[in-house]
Amino acid sequence: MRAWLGAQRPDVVIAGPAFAAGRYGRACVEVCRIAADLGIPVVTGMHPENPGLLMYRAAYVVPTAGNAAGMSAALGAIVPLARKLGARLPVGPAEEDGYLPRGIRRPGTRARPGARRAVDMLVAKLGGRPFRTELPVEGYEAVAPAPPVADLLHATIAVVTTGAIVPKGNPDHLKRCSETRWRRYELAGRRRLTPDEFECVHGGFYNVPASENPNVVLPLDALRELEDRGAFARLADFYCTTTGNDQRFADCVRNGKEIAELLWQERIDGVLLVAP
Amino acid sequence: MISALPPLAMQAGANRVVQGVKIEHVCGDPALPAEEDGAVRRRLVERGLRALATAVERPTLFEDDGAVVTAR
Repeated sequence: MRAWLGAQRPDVVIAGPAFAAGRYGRACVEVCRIAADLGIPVVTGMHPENPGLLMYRAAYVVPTAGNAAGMSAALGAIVPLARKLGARLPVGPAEEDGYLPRGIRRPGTRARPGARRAVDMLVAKLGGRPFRTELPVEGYEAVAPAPPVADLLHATIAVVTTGAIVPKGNPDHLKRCSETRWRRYELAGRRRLTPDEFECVHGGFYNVPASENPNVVLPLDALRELEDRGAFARLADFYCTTTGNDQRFADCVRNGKEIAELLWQERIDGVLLVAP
Repeated sequence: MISALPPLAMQAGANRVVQGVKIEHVCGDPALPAEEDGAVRRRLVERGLRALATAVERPTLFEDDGAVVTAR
């Protein structure tokens, strides 16, 4: 990509729009980083919850809908910014020029003093009236790490995946994307997952390898082997799965809490989470 | 977590992270003969277990040679 852009020297690059596709969003943001490094103006577009945004905050990202139904609106918003960037005109604040805030602050003067603005904001908030924060707080919070498994040799381990590994035929109709739920499936003492009994229904990546050998996303065979060798005491005889593809942040949080609670009730000491 | 995209996982707050092979086959390599693919899978799971038994204070990538890379 770097060589190609360096050879082409375009006036401006448009990457995406990626909408809610996380892997695509990550790739778009990487293109933005490379182009910026080469001094080439670049803009992308994606849903504000796209995890790709985490990777390079300095990218100009136009907020879009969650899927391609929002294509014409997305392009309508991307093109004016692309023109401005391509013409190397100065770009205004995020709100004015229609991109997501990049966490870059420029000194300036506001009409009213901060104390006055803060009090007005607080009064509005207390009165249940709309207000707009001047400094949005980041969405992803730090999670306090759990203490290590104290005694791995005597531990019970469970495996969870966001790779949508389900019994063949997908009896619970786990969605390929935008799934809200998670599911528990029994392993019934199986030593490995086989393609005649399980499949991968994830719609966010090429899922044929995982359907041909589900162990590459849910590594049951390796876990059984290590259980046999005594690396840990016992593998939980079930697993949990959801589709980590365009899942809303609120659903991710809830699903995580519910799965954790199940694992806590089942006295699991440590969890392996596999995320494609 | 065994993730195909560790920087993403660590930015989102995952504290113990192991680099998987590829998005399509995080824990293995179908291009390899079955026994080698299985060995890749076992090594990844072993690294995951090692991570579970290791104290961390922040998002941490567990690398193959035993080295540990922590997020800032």
